[in-house]
Amino acid sequence: MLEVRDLTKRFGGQTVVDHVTFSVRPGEIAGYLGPNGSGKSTTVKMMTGLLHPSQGHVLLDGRNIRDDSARFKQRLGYVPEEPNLYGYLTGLEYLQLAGGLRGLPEDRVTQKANELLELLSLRDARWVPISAYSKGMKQRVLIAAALLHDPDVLIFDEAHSGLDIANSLLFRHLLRTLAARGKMILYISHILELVEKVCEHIVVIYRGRIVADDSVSRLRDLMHLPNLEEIFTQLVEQQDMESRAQEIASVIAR
Amino acid sequence: MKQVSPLRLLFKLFQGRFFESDDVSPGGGFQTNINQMLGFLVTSGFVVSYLSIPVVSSIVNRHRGADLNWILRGLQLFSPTYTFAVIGFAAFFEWDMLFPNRRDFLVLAPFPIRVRDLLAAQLAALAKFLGLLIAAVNLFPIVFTVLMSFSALYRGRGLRLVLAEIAATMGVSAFAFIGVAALQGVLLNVTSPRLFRRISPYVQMCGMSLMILSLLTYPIYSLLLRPAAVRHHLWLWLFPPVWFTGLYDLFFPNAHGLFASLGAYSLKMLAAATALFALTWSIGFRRHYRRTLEAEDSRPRAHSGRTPAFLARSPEERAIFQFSGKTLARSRKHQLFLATYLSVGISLALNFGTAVRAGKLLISDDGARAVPFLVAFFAISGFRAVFQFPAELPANWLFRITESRWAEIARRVTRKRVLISGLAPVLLLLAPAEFAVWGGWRVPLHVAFQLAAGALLIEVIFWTFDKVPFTCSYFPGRTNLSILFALYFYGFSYYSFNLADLEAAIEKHFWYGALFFVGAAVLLTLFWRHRREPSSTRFDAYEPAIQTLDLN
Repeated sequence: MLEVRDLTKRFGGQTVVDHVTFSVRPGEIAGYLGPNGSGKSTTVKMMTGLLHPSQGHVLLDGRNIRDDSARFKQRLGYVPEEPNLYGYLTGLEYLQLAGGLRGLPEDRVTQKANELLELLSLRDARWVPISAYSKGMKQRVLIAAALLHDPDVLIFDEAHSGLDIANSLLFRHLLRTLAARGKMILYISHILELVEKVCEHIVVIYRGRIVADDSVSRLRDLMHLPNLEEIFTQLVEQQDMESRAQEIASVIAR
Repeated sequence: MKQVSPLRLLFKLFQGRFFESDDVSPGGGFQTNINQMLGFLVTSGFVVSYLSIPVVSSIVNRHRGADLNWILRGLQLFSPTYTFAVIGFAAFFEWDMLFPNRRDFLVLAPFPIRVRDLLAAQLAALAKFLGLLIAAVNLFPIVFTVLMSFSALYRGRGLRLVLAEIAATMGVSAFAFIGVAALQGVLLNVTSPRLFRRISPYVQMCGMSLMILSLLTYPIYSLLLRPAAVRHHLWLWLFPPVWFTGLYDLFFPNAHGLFASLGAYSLKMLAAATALFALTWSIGFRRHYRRTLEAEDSRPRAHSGRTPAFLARSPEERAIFQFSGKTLARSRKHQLFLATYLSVGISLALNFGTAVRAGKLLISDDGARAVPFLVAFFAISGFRAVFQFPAELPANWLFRITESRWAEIARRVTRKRVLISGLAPVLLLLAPAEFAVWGGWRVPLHVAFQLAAGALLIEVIFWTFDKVPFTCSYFPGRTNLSILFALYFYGFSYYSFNLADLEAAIEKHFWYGALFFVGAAVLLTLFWRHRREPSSTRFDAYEPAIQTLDLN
């Protein structure tokens, strides 16, 4: 089980993530939601070891990930929000690099990478430099790189961003299949409909603090609201969007 | 309400691009970068002028008559050469910024902007950039000339000297810059956007290297100036700084016929370059604008072969080895930095490896021996420097997320990469020259000796290097240039000349050679087998409070 315990991050005097605690069980897809600037990405950076927490721990199967970060990284697959890749490498070369850095033998990496690229409809572009890829293609390379070493823990930060309809559907099925195989999946997205469809468990962060941590159905029952969109709106004190849209229209007409 | 002119906005946008390159000062804003770059150029001009004062005084005191005139002519050549090299280097360095690129066109295309406004704004930005460069490079050399004009040597001719200096340096500056821009204009017209993109790095590399060579080989050709003028050598008509030196003769009454012709030729060539620039840019701008938007570099890359097992044993080693090779082969900025280092090495090697005797350029027996060591030193230290520049800063999260305390692996791979891509090619390229100069049994001995010495130098230079090449998460920008210069000067001279002496001694005494090779083998075995405590790879100089990984 992946556990986030009392995780806190302070930058200077400002607390960006404030005593965040939640867990993701094997076979579970947990949705991690929050408005922009609420602390989602900072939490993820601490979970992936890219940022040291000011306080608190991340545990995998009861062990602090910092005690053996190399072992944790071998079990982690991560798709960042922005498709930052080495543009001068081709799709296949990037996957070979990612596999090699994770210690996978070259032949196995090449075989798996080719199969994944084929399944993700990137076979024809595998020798083309990534700089020429569209955003969706880059995203698929990142997904393949995150899955290449068959990790136990998967963190997807807006992973479907830029994907076309077919690949978005494929990704949704992939999430369910991976969860069925016992992977622990943390899924960050702003598309509430998608989250509602694939995630059994929702964690909502707002201004650095967890404001909800439960299943979607229980949240619906507890808050007497029909869907995740309304639950989210109520939890994070979103302003009346309709009146704000009216204001924008007025400003541009001036 | 006052309306802002689109032309003015575009001018601001384009002028900023010359100084907001990450290669100049990462993270710096426009004002920081412009101040740093111009400050560097002004300081260089000051140092060059300051160092010239005792040289000129000593020459004036020691020589008389025709000898003095020719030496002064040689010194006069330095100012246009320095200006030509610096401005030309800057123009090639900013090659991508001279013409609006694909990103500019993509960003600006949706806006209601006329193509002629784009061209006018770019030309205005180029003019400002050129003006600032000329002022920064020539400020102190002109001040120095003004001071010189008060000396007894130029009594009654002081004003002519100052005017000639201004004409020569301004003329050669404009020629260097406009010449590079015209070259770009020609290439834009005769090549497709895709081909232009492919050949640009090579043009840039060759151009920057030629500029360094033209400056640093000055001691050689300044000595050849007099015999070349006597024999009317062709090279005088091929090297622009010499033409512009001829402008001095146009300002003084007792002109040298050949140099006066060269001075007139310089004005014709400046006019020709300007005309070519105007023609190619006016024809090519709209065409390139349209074609650039349609072009996309989706050319498949060649399949790379397997890395031999002896070069990289584990998957991690193989991954880093291949990554470093591909970055070297495909990253333009790294190639440019490496080419700059190599050009400095080759220029110094030409200076030390040759001698001018009786008006002829000959190979120096003593100096030629130091050439391979000198070039190898600059190649190896060049690799050390370029490895510290991140390839794509936001993408290095991959290394952080997979990092598993393989600093030692990275160190091993780095050494092998420098050996394979740095030292070996340098020695291979110099091998024909070795055959030509030394011939026979000496060549294999020399190559083996240079290889062993180079391998030891790699160990020394990379002793503290515990990073994966090209993944450092900051740009090296805190280097103390004066300390670095002193270290390089001491390093290359000590390494090159002492090892050249040792090589000569080994040729004569078998036991010296045996002792060296056994010692080198033992040391290299110890270095290569030495395993340090597994530690985390260094990505940062220090642990920052906020890691800017740009992940969101």
